[in-house]
Amino acid sequence: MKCKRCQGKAEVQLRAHNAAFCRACFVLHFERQVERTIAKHRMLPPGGRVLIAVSGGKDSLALWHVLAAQGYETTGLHLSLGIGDYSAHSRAKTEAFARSRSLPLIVEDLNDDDLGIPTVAAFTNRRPCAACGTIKRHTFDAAALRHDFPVVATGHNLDDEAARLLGNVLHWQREYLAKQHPVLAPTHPKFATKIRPLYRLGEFETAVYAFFQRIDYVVDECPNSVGASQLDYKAVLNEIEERMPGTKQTFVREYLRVGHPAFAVARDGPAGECTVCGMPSFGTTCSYCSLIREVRAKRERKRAIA
Amino acid sequence: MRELPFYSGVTLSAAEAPCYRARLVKALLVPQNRTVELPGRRRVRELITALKIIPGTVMVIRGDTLLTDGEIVEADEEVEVRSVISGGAPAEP
Repeated sequence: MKCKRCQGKAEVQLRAHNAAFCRACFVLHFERQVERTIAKHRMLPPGGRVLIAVSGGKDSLALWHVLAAQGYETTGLHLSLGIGDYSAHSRAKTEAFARSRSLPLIVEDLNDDDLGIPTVAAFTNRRPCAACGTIKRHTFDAAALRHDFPVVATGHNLDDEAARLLGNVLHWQREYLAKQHPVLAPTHPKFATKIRPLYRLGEFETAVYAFFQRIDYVVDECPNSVGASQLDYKAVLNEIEERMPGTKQTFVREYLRVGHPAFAVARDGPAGECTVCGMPSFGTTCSYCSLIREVRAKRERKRAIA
Repeated sequence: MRELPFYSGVTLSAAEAPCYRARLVKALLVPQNRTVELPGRRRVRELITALKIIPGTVMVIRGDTLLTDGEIVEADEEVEVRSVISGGAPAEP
């Protein structure tokens, strides 16, 4: 099989693009896709400041690598979730990546306040993924505000977006559909703009890019994600993609072109601010502070009984 | 000793075919960290299918190189089959 660009020996085949690339041409293809996505959606000005949420996985590290290479002023933000060896491993990989490239990294560790995801989930009877989402959203918003970043970037890829879209459509989640866009403008002065520069690239492509760039990422997956519905949606979409290459790309692209404008009007921002942390909130207390208050109250009660 | 002929997915035990000694392709599944052995040389796509994996959800790596669907993995060779799916571990093949 030959490279579509240089006719050399291909090392990667992309059925959705009906193309194959050698290593050098694939890297170029990947980086151009990111460049075009950023330009198309005006995600960042040239050399702009951006805070990148970095888990230690292939997508976020590939994103950080490519944005730093393209001259953006990047800082990584790693949230250590307190999930045993998995979190320790993820943190170590992220720190090693930042150190090897002399990139600035902010690390926040939930264990510092004894608020690791397993603890929060156990005390509140919430699913770990639900608690994790609430804590991550708050931490990213608060860190962007504290460190004065106008933009927060995440490594969501095409497969993540397609799976999320399928889930939202199956349940007709109008509010979530309104928020499903690669650029989310802030709905409150204390919020940063959220961007997803990898949304047009499949996770096969981000994995290949990370492999070619010798990025040492966490291959293991979060132990709490076993049975996550997003994985079922991904499995269904991968079956369809196998029979009809390019389906995921069309699904997301056409949603953004045709579907999203119809739902975008439904999007509302928080009117007030949380009386505890000062971050934007729909009620007097934001969902993060409510969660933490619940954990602390239940922990105190348990201690009192003991 | 004769080599086991190339039939995708066909395995013969020593009792069934005493005159053959299967030459095996070793596939290291990541992140499961499990090695699966399959008889005979085969194309990457056939290897993936035999492992009951959907093509496009894994990278097949030999040494420092990625393999495309049409390339052949020789018997006695070892390849890494690394999942690219994030958000959870893939189902066991």
